[in-house]
Amino acid sequence: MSKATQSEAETGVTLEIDGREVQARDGQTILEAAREAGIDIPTLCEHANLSNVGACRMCLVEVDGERNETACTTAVQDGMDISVDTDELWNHRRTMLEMMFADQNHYCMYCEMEGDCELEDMFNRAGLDSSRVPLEYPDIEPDTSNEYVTMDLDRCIGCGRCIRTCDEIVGNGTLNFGNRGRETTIVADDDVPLGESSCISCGSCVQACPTGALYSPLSAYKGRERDCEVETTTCSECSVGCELEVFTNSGRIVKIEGNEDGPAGGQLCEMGRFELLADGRERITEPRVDGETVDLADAIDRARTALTEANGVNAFASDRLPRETLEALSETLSEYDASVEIPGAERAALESDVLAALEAELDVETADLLVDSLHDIEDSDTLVVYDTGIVETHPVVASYVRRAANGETTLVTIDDGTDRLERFADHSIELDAPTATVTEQVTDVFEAGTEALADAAIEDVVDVSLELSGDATFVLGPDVDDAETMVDVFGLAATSDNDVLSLGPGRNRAVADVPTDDLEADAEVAYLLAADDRGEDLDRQIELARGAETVIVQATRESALTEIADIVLPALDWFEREGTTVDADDDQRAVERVLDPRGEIDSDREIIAELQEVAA
Amino acid sequence: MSAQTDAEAQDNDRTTVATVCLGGCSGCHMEFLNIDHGLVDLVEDVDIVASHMIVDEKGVPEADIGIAEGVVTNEENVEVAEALREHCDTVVAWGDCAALRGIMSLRNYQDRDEMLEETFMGEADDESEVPFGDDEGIPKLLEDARPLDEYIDVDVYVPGCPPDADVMKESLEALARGETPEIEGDKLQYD
Repeated sequence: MSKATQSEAETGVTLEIDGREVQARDGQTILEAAREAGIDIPTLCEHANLSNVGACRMCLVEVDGERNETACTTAVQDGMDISVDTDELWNHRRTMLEMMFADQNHYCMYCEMEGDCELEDMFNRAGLDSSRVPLEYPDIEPDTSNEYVTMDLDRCIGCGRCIRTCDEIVGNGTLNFGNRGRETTIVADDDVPLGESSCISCGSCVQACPTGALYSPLSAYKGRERDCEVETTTCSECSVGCELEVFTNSGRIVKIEGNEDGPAGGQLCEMGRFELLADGRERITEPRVDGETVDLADAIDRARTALTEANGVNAFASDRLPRETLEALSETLSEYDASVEIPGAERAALESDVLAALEAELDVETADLLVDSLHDIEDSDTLVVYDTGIVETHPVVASYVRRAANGETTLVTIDDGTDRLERFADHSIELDAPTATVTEQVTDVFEAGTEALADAAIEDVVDVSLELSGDATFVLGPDVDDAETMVDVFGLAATSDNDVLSLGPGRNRAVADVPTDDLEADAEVAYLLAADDRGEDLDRQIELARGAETVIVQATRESALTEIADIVLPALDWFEREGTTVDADDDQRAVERVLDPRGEIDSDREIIAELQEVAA
Repeated sequence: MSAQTDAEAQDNDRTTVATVCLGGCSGCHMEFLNIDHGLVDLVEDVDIVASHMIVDEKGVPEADIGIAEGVVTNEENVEVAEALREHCDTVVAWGDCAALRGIMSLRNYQDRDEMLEETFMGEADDESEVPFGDDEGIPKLLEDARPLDEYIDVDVYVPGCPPDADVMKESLEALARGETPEIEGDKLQYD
């Protein structure tokens, strides 16, 4: 039963739990009713946002003195008399725990989860001091094939939280039970190493695992969760704007987790959970000019002189930076003969032109064309995804798409390359034609009926058009960069009274408010605000640096770019920044400082502002 | 009555305790010493008749309480464990190894002889041999390392790697009073 129906059901049920009268609602489980009444029932396999399966038997309760049931899967009934805390039930629980202990290899003393382990806590509660069951010592090889997620089934109790998380939260269905029977284990796909499976390394299973069976080597042995401080901030890796719960201990980041109370249900993606922690490049702490360490003031002086004397300046700013930093840059550059490029700005500008044109042409409000909230797309009858590259660029939205497709929603994918969502799609359209043509054809069919297209080869297009009668959402991936497709998609949304979720290549939609220009071909100075950019973003900056005589780089870490820079200024890392970012559904999100800066500088904006004072 | 006979009378009242180290690292015994000043109070009630860090006694004498640290990993451990059971009224398993198998049983995942070869070959000179334990002098390793209760009956378990000194002291005091120690909640450790 869904949460919504539960809260609507107001039928009162009265039951007794350990001698206390408890009011519950019809349809609630005994566990839910007990929790609301503040009565603790031990659990292991139960977890936030997941369905209940009664696998671990910890929540065994006695009902009416005559039978034992799992509280997580048994609905309340009027007049029930429930016992939780009896010696007999604790004996049952202890026996179950002894079997879990004997069946696998639990060595708490060197397990990375020691102190945070829910199984260990349960051993303590049940008073497990020995095992009456002979120990098995199964020979299990830990699976280290995935860079960020280690699966050590030595510590697995078969609770299935990881499987349910992978299925119900992430919608990927990589993990499952295999070798059913006495040898049941968790397997990835058809029992292949995790690193060779369909796993997307989002780490949601790691967060859900109650023991040390799934853990990240990035966080292992860095400290117990209970000794950590937690600060929340917004992820800088794409425009979904996931909330990061950053666990720190003694000025060091131990791990990053997703907010289990948030719309994403605790999931993050590989970028947010792991890659942010895995940046092993050397940190830049001091300014340098021509390879020599100098005072910050000297470095800024040199940069000012270069900017002032240049015939032109090509600037580039990372879109991982908060709005305020980008605005400071824009203001500083206005003092110079400079052009600035920011990833995502071009797409944002194109989109705003298209929307302005449509607003005039079709008499629609832009706001009505855009989705209110990006996780609402799950409620659509039909999802039409243009460019399935979102699986890599916006993985959490891709999981909303998969979850919807696993449910009632019809999923249509349109891609001119590899369809990354093919196994979830009802219609996968892979035409040689550019995506614009597909939309145009859908528009034709939608408006004029199936007779508009005689060609049977485009059956899919007809299907899509028919699906549009319901509530549909169009998801525009980052590779859609042509005005034609955009006009068609927004136009189709307008005429079919549906919404669009635009997931451009930009990570921060605030870039739409920062003026950008085409860069000059012969600018002498390149001013590159690289921050912690890597990959393609860094490559682009290296390309710009190569075309300039003097290169000023403001970066967090050493790279091929800082090697060729004339002036290197330190920049904050993602966990040191402050400000706001704008996510894909136009919400302002706070970027919070998690740790105090390690380098010489306290603010990127102050350095940028100092560069504004033009050299005499 | 002379002072000496007083002391003898006191000796006779005290609960006798023998501790042995089987396949362990002596970490439990080290933690026992961490009772520190509390040991002075403890010996008013208990008489430690064997304990390799405190008393010069190589055998397993008769005692009211017999305590074992470590897994049963070689033939000598079996003999000592059986002697402990035979000579003592109450047997206590100290630490994760004796109670729950502990870190020493990690060798169970490897072949015994291969492991010995790997450990000793190439480490010493031409004269040295791999101590398979086939000759006299070195006890032969068992195929597997196992917790104490797979060989003898155990009355009290004090897990932990090592158990906390205070928990060791409290449990011994309770036993000396003739009670069964209650080790539960946070006193139960697995690390």
